[in-house]
Amino acid sequence: MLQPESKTLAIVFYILAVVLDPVLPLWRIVGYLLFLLFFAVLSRASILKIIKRSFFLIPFLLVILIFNALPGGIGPRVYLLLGKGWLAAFGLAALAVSTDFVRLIKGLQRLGLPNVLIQLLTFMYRYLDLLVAEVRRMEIARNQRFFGRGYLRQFTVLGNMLGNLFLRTFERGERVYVAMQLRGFQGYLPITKVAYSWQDYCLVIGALATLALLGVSIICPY
Amino acid sequence: MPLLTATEVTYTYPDGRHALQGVNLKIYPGEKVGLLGLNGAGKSTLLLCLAGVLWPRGEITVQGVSLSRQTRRQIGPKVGLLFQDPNDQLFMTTVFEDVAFGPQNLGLPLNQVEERVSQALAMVGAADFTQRFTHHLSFGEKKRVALATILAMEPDLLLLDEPTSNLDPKRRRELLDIIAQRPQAMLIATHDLAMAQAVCSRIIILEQGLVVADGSTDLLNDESLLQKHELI
Ligand SMILES: Nc1ncnc2c1ncn2[C@@H]1O[C@H](COP(=O)(O)OP(=O)(O)OP(=O)(O)O)[C@@H](O)[C@H]1O
Ligand SMILES: [Mg+2]
Repeated sequence: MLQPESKTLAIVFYILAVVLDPVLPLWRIVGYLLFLLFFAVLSRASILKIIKRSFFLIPFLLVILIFNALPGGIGPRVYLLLGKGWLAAFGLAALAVSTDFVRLIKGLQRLGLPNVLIQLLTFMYRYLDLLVAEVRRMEIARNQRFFGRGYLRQFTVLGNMLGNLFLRTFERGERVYVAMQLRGFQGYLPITKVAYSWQDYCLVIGALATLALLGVSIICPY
Repeated sequence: MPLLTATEVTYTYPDGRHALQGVNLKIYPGEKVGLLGLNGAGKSTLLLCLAGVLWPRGEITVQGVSLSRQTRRQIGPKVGLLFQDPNDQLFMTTVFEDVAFGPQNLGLPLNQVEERVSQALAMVGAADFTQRFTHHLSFGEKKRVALATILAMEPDLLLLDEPTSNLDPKRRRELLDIIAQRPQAMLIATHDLAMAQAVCSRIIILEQGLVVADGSTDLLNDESLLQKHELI
């Protein structure tokens, strides 16, 4: 079982390599893809899912394409941008597919990311859902008694609901904070220690090796 | 020595609502006390004050120590409050983390934390919930996990706000067993007279922010008293 922090580190190194690559020759693309394959196998992520997930980049790539290809046609610069973009997207997709958000945050915490950021991410994730659920409940409650008489009225109702939502969230926030204090909260979320397996080391070393390979091939091309 | 005393506890909400108007009570170690009263009588408010969530006028002491902002951190682990709404109580992402939060903050080593978590979850019949997301549980499940978060702290006094609300009959019965078996003192706000009858040794009736009756569970057999306070 891979730990999220080694996966994060590996992908960071991998993306660093991709971004730093000045020319992106075919053999190195094959190399990068091989590393991703290695990643997918070690983390038991489905390759099909990774490819699907990487499609999130299409809109961004299209924009890049339009702005860069229109003036000069598809030259080496555009090829480089698209290639790097997609390889990086593959990397992020691989991380996203193989690790759920909660474990990812845990990993970042163990990597030593600032405490404030970790708390923000943790509670955002925990309460976003609650907030959405609260809005949905209010909406349902409204729709059961409100039959859309006039636009103007609708806006006053909406205004009321937003105010109400703010109050509810605010007061809940206070109660939850006290609930945390009652259980001894002193400003730090507890860190759970984990053990690293050989797969973790392999993965990070593999990513470093990819980066190193790039470095060597840039310094002495043949 | 009483475990908890409340003297002339008075609380007015910021919007001017007088929720408690001078409550006096004492709770002794090991006692199970039922707190009865109509909706809006002030039961939840009283429990929130006793746990140090709200700051009333009057005095509250726990094991002889007066409750204040300075002493809350020291008293906090001794008093476990089960909120009426479990959404106020569960704030971590997974059930394990949430139940482990308290013991971890007590500074226990990991194996003891894990032991307490699994014990507490087993007690509320949620042993296999550990990796589930707290916000995806049903209301009754949340309530049980919320109880586990408190049991894992092993406090001396449990303040339970409607512990049986939304529980199915099986879970309710199991909960009554837990309450009866735990050695800790408890103050239990409830509308469940049958539960009070079954597990409590003493009854306090609250009406409009005042204690109007305080005595043994035999009070529940006094029909005229219950009728007078509209509890039946
Ligand atoms: N946050 C608040 N702000 C203002 N008033 C409040 C607030 N919470 C409760 N109240 C009011 O204080 C009074 C006591 O409320 P409390 O929640 O303690 O009643 P309760 O006995 O727990 O009722 P229930 O049986 O419905 O849980 C009620 O009249 C209520 O409207
Ligand atoms: Mg209440």
